[in-house]
Amino acid sequence: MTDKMTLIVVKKTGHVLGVVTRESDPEGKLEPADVAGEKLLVRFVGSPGPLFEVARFLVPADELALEVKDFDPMIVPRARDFVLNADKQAVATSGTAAVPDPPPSIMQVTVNASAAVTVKTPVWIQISSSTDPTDTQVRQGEIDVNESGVDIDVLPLNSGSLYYVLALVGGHDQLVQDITAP
Amino acid sequence: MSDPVARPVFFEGQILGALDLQDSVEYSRGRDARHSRYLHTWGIATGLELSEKGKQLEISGTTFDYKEISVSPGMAIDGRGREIIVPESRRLSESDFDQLNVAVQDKEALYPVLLIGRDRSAPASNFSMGDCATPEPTRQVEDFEITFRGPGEDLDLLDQTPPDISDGPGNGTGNAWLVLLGYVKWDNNIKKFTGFDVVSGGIGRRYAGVLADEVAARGGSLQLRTRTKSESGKPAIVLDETDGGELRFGLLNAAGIVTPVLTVKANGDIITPGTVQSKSSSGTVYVQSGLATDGVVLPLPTGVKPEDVAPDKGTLHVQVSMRLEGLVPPANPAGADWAPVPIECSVDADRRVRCQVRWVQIAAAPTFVDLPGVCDYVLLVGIPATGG
Repeated sequence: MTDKMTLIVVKKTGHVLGVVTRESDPEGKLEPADVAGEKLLVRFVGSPGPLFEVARFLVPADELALEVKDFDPMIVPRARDFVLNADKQAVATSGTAAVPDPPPSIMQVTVNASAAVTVKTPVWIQISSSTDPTDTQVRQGEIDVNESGVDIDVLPLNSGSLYYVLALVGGHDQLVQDITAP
Repeated sequence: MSDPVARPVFFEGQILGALDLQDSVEYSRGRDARHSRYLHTWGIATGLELSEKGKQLEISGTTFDYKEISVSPGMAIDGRGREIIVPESRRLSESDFDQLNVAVQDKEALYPVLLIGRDRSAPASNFSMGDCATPEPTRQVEDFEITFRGPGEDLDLLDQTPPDISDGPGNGTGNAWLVLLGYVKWDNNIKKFTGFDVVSGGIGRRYAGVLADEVAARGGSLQLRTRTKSESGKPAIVLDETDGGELRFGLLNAAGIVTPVLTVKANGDIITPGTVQSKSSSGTVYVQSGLATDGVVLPLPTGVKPEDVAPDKGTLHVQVSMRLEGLVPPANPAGADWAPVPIECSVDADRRVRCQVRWVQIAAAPTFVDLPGVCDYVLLVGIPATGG
């Protein structure tokens, strides 16, 4: 079995969204589109329920990067619990991010870290309509030092509509949250 | 229409005029120019490198850095077949640049530096025929001029119009031929150059070449390399008569010998210590296998492109099975007992893996958690043979 694995990560935050290994040419050049297609399918993790079991995200390949690492049997079965740190090493995520529901307006979504951050922290979100899978948008922001959250401008949400948010805050656990536009 | 080429001839007792002698010179010049034009390609032959020297300038108490840019001695052949010789290092003139009014405010803009061949009359001779005759120069100096253009005004340098077939090199008047030497940066506030580059937007210095349909060695070995001198670490190709004939590609060592990474022998053997990669060939099965998590598109084997597995092309065979080894149950609640239940493990038409595990807490009131699964995959691509 190969001793290498390819991590599929979000460029902005380093969160791991998938893993693939190749017995033949395990370190050969791959592009994100080779293992994600145009968009990588990311599905809900958690307790199945009437709303959340249909929550899924299609992350554009150009938001992704690939990192070849030594195979780690601890990472593969729970890849989405890991994030690449500044040294490009895969470390376990920690801390719970939050996306308050409802958001402050149809033009903004708030993303909170678990506490005030000590370094500028990247934030990446994807918002998808619960009824129209083509109604999706990717937005990015940063939580400033000594702040615990950031308001991210978004394209106008349909008032009263339900959306799913995949929120990635640097170093934190991945979060899937549903919000209703005010 | 081009005039026929006429060669001066002389006869005994002929009274020679200045025009007869001039024609003799022009005949030779024209022949040399046509040789350069039609057996070579135009460009820099040697030297003519840009270099810079850091300087400082003080204006109203503020110090500014700038660069003196110079062109090294060298020679170019222009598209008319004219030799342009820069005999000694020449500093680029800031005042010449400024007078052209090509400057823009962008300090990073790159301005083409161009070399032009120009004839210039030497000072008149002190010798004259009789008291009434005006002294005339007896030499034409084959001089040069360095000029500049605005940023981006270098796109037409490859489309300059060559002279008629029988024409000589001309005297540098009229539509002069421009030879690109590089690019300079300019600070319009201090009227000084601030640097140079040799390439801009993929356009760069052009070197003179050879037009030949046959290149033959005389000693049984022909070498093609990327530098005028043999330099260690630079690539080269050698065709020689080793073992009855051999083609070798590799890097030159310090002794000027190619260390081959690809050898083609006269008997058809191809030898390389590297990897041979090629477009998928017909009648072949390619295999890839490994692990993949939920949502991932299975990667094709090396050498197979997506179009190879399009309908009516190659055949794709995929086998996936959920990997139960090493499964990690949900972390919460801590200490709970969980049982995994595979709920999905398949691959769709886009080769995308759909693999999920539902964890069931073993308790009186069980809870459920869905997590992405991991599958083992084997992917075979059959490229059918063509032409029977």
